[in-house]
Amino acid sequence: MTWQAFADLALVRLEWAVLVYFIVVNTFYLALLVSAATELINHVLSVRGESRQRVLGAVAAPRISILAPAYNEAATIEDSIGSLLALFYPNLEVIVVNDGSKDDTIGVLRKAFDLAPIHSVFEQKIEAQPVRALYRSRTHGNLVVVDKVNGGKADALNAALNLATGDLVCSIDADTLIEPDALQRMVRPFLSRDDVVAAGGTVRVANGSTIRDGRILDLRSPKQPIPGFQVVEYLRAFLFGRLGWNRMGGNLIISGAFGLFDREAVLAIGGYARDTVGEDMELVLRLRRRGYEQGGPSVAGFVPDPVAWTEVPESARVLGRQRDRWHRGLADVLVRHRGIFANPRYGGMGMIGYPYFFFVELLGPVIEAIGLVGAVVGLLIGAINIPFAILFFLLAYGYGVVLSVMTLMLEELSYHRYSRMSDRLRLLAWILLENLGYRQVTVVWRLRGLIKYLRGKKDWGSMERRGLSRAAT
Amino acid sequence: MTSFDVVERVLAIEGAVLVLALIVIFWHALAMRSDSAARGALLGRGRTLLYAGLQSGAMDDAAVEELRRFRRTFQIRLFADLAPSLTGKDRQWLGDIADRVGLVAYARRRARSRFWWRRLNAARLLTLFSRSDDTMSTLARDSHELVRAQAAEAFGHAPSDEGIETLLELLGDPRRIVRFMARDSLVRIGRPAHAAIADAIPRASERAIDALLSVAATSPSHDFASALAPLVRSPRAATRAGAADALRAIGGADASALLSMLLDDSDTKVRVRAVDGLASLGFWPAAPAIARLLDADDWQLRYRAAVALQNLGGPGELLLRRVADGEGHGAAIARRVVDAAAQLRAEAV
Repeated sequence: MTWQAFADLALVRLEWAVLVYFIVVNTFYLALLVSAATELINHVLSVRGESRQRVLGAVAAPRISILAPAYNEAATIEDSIGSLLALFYPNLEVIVVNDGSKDDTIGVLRKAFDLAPIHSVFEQKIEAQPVRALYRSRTHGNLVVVDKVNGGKADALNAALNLATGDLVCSIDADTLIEPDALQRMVRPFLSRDDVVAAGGTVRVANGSTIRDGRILDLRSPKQPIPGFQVVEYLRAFLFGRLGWNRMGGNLIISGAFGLFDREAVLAIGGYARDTVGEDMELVLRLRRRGYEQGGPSVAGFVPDPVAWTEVPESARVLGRQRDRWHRGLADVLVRHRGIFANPRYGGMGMIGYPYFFFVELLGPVIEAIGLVGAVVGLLIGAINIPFAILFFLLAYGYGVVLSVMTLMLEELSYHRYSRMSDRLRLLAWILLENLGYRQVTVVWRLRGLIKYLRGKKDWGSMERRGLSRAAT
Repeated sequence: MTSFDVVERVLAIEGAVLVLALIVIFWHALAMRSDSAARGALLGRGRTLLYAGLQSGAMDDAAVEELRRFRRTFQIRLFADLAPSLTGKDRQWLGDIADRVGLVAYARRRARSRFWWRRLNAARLLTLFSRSDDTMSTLARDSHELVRAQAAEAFGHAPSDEGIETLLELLGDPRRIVRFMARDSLVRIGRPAHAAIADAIPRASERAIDALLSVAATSPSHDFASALAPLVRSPRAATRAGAADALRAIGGADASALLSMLLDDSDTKVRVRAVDGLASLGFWPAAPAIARLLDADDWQLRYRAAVALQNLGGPGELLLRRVADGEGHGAAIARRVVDAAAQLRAEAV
């Protein structure tokens, strides 16, 4: 056999392997879409006409402690915390952690909320960097501020956990806007079932929208491509992905930007891990593992209707760093919890959820890159039939478009957040363009993250934020 | 069939699905827009009729007939928008109008549907109209938990003896959402339910007792005192803890004496509840017994005991300072609490 023939054969076999992978993965996506649609229908039928005012006025409603870590947020902290205090929930506590900010975050908080020092005696159930002072607001008795030595986001969350008094704890990012009735909606799984340990809501993209006083007044789809593509990604991830997982083994990720957890369970596992950049996914996996191992609650549910709005990167550089970090976090967490893989002890999480995340989410960029490179090389050396390759490309591209459009259809039929035809058309344009370059670039970023993980890089990198209050258009 | 054929067929299917999805998206968007315009005008007219009737306390047949001609979804929307803002006689009036318009009969028909979402919808409508009759009693025994939970909510809006008994039964429901709604409804009903709750406590199942005690703690009454006394000796820690909370809410000498007994409980959480309860009732005779807990193994118990002593006034503070001068865990926590309080006072000055 000549080298040429060998190369031809190897390439063809490789492309067949990629094709099989493609078929298996996309069949699974179809199953996930069907599961998501079923779950959404069930959800809409359950909540239609419900009186959420019931939860609002219920003394039996579980107490929720919001944990809000803040680092160098002086420009936006007053608005952020103000909007948290205005949430419609009857039994709420807000714990802000100033994580050793170098700017005047604590000064802004002191002034804006009339903070008074309080007892600094508390039980350090979870190790965290030293607390310098504790404050309670004189104007908002349910606001506690922790001033501590810098230790990172996970450390700040753990410090807040040591002080939290709620039955449930809600972790949020400082620059995330939560809708006023979001907590009433997100608490639903904990009221409905005894086996829920975590619940997540939908995180959506606020870029391009009009925001005032911490509320989205006019939702628009972004005009720039980079945030525009991310709107499509987030819709797919939450409305299709996470919702679909509710019926297929449960979720492995609850977004750190907006998640609700059983406090006792989080304390029992020692809080957030401080040595990973995927601390939100790591927490969920540990919580669920404990549930399976000790016979306690183990369900991580996704509730589609509570919404938190966030600012996504508008530059490729910042987005690349974010995706790089997410992929490193994913790799780290999956390796830490590799004992779950195909282990029937962990039910659907072990038999379906973990294998999916490993083979599709983690290794997906590797397979895609191999497939792309192999296709290009094969075309150049004539090992691959050009008309077939074109048709197949159209098929793959078309399938991605179909999944995204179906997700947009689910959004339209259920929540109908985009009221203008121009916004829908823009989203369709982003859907059509997403797979013509953007997706391929994200493959590069994720591969970079994987390589960095394999080389042992663990830091967060820097994330530039304009602040949601300045995102108004 | 060649691989080309397969790919072409799949592409055709993709194309068809895509076109269908796009049609649905744009049809829905256009329908919502045109419906919104029509809906706005009709709902405005409907609201005018209802508000006028509410103000005068009566609605003539012509107005009722006009409402009856509205599409069912608009009727429901009109009444659903107004009902939550009304209570008592006004809510009853709205329910009577809904009856005349035909909505109550519609809801009762849907309550017999074999689809759970229709029965749920019926239960929600009947709740809006404050109708908790035989239909609601049947829905309280429905196979779907959301329907039962909705029935529990309905009984809270229109309490009756039968409704209270049903709610007490639902406190033992296997599904949490039903227990939550039943508990909440009993709290909302308040005094009229107290006698029934006091009767139910001694015979409650393990699942129901926690919810019952939580109701007793939130809506306290001296009627519960005699029923709670045996529970401080329950073999179940959760029951003893719930009893402690209820006793704290009731207050009084008898409750304080029972809480004092719980200071020696084998379960730490029960002791913490007892300490907190005695501190909130200001029962200073318990100060020496609480001071002994400063040496407990559990940090939370030691801390709560120290804070309780501080809150019990002179006798408590004296004991706390005496312990702070000593050695060991108790002294350490006492010193921390005393020092923290002193620091706060200094900062306030």
